[in-house]
Amino acid sequence: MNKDEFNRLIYSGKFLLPLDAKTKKSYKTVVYRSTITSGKINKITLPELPDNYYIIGSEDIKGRKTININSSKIPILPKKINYIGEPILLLVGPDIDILMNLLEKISVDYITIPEEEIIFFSKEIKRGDIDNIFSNPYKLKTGIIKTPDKIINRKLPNGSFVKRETESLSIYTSSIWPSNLRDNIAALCTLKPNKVKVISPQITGEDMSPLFDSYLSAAYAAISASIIKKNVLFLMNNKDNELFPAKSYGLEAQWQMAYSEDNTIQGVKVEVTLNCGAYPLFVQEKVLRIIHGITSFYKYKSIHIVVNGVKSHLPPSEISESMNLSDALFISELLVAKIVKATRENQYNWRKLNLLTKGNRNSSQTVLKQVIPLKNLLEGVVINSDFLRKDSSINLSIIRKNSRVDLTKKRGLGISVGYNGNSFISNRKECLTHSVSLTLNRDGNVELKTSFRLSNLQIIPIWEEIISTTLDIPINNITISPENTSLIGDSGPNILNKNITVLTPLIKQCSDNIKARRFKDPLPIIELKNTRRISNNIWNPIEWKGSPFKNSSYAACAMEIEVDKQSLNCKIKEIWLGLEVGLVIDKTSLLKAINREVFSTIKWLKDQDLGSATQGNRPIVNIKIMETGKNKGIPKGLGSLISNTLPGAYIQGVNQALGSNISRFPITRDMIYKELIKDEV
Amino acid sequence: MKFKLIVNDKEVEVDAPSNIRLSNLLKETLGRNSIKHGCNKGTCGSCLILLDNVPIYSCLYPASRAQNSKIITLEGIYQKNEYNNIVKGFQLAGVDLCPNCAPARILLTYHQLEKNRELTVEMVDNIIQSITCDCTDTKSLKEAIYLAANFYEGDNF
Repeated sequence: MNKDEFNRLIYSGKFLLPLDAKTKKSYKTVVYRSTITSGKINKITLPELPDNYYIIGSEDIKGRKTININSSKIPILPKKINYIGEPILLLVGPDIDILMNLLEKISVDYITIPEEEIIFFSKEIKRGDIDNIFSNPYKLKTGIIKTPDKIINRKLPNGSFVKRETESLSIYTSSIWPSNLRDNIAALCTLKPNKVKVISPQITGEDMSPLFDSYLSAAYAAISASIIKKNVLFLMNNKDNELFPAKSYGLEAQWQMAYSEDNTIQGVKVEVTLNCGAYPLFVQEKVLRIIHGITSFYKYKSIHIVVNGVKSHLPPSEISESMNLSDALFISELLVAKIVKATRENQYNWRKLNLLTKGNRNSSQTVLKQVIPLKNLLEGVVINSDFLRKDSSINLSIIRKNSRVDLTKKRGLGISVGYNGNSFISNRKECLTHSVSLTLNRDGNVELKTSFRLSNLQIIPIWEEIISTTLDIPINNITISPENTSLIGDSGPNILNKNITVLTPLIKQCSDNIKARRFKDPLPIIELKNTRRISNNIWNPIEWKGSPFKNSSYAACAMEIEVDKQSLNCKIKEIWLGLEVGLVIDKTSLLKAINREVFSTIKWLKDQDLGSATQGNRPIVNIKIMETGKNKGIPKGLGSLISNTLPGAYIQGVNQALGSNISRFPITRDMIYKELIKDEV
Repeated sequence: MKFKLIVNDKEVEVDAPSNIRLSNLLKETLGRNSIKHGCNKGTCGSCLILLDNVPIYSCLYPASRAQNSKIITLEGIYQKNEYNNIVKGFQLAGVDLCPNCAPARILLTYHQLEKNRELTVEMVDNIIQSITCDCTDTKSLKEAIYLAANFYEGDNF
């Protein structure tokens, strides 16, 4: 099905979403949640159940009682409670109102257990003579940097419908990792994986939706359906959606800087705490990505960084599109801003001197072989935004203290850089299933099958264009469909645009190979390509050696902030963005995606819904796209590049405008007021 | 309870619980799949319909209040030329709406253009803000709505 056919279905409302498949007489499932944060179930008192109503606990689950995601084992309906609101019982029946009444009549007696302090995964990196520097520093400065929680947008309602057929289950869900979900459901319901079919919408119009939530909803519906032998629908109610939204928790970083007598920075120590919630989801990936984000693009002579993924008695932290990289880059940019402030240098000049480029050694002491265009991008945005002149002018007004007389507005400027490592850094095998099969048929048509669950319409024309230009075949003769995931695993969640970045070169290789074989071999010609785990010589995450990412995209940003002293409103006036995202096939789509990402990042920064904001409140966004050297042939995608880059510049701008030392966002009116009062006093 | 409605110019009579939401009645009992399961609290807008020619979030509307009312869903305008012209405008603007918000956005654009073909900035903002899905950026949506207005009466662009 091509993009036009998809669009025709979508615009006519005939595109079926998972819950559209449910039947009128399907049974409903609701969950009973724990009311304590940590403990054990002592006794459950159940109400009398009417006919056709059932209560399901963990003892009723026939198979494995856990969901396994990326080596984490998460118990289903456990007896031991790990967070408040953890589902412990399922109620199933035909009428939702009766189920809700029954839910209120259940009472559970708990034995509370003191909350545990567990570190799920920890990683430490030391460079330089850090022990010596911090044993006897001339001056020591400390502080805390915090990033806020990020609510993962849920475009489709959190629910699943399970259709039961003889000895098999069809699961209609919006999971972003269907093949792994299928294996989990099969293990829970003691079925063979080929007896479980996961039907997730091929195109949902979004790249990311909650992963763990979709696993739970599918598991509850599947368990209920396999036990009561009926079609079952699980749909999370409004109250639960409000109380337990899918969240990726922010970071807390405690930093220390040691100064010498001449006020130069000797060394930096950072201890980052990553709140994983009650169960670890991709914890290793998140921890390594945070370390890489903080250490990999600036030259630090001496740095000691520890990242701990810790347990808390909260619902598990979901995976966000950036996998906490945007939080890590915010910490990195803020640390740099503090160093620059201490050394009394210019924000741009310090960065220009200390950004890593090709030939430098990175934090893993490996010589960088790839071109890192951050310096060029930064130079571009600095020139476009007239940063140096504006920065001097603001600094001069601070010296002259003009701002105290002016009661209306204060201005500030910030610059930052960011990147988007388009693959999994932890190098785990289960996350690296990428396969492509391209077939040139006898009738001249080309069939492309990929392991990627087509989650974004934008990618289809790019692939069509690549195949069409390489093989000189009209676009109408190309069909793109997902691979049969009952035979191979799918590529998993599309974190950091990794599927697009990894699969597009494979498609290009397949097309080139078919072009070479076209008039030599008999038709049909089939080309298969898949990725393998990166060799330890290229990247070893345990020893922290090598370079993890092949096709990173890069960005630099300058931002002008205006703080209104009367309304205490912090407004972003203008943004200048320089981006290097590899080959750009459809520039209009890219610009639209950038604009969309910019506004969703501002929403995160300001913690407010910009949907209702009028045009006047929206900043002007200037975008410059750069294509560099070797990477020209590969589209690297945007991913979370914008949310990785913008926060650093935003806080710097606010701090310059207010003369403050704020280390967190969102900036509230209260925070602005306190800073202004300091200035006036 | 018996419900009597006029859905897309056809009289319909159905039996359903008296406390059913209008969105559930239309989607589950009458099978109008263009109404999507949304937030159920009037925020997302994916259940938007026209009730007596007024756009409403059907998830917040009790079906019992809609007795004998005239309801229009996307299925009701699907065969009309105006629908094709609106879609043409959206496609020319290069907008790829997601399946969850597309029916509501098209229906609301149709309603606004039926009422007044000369769009003001406020009207366009209303169309955009009534549905809070952020699958598409505001700038592209504005372009799409203006193009839809241009095509609305035929190929006059």
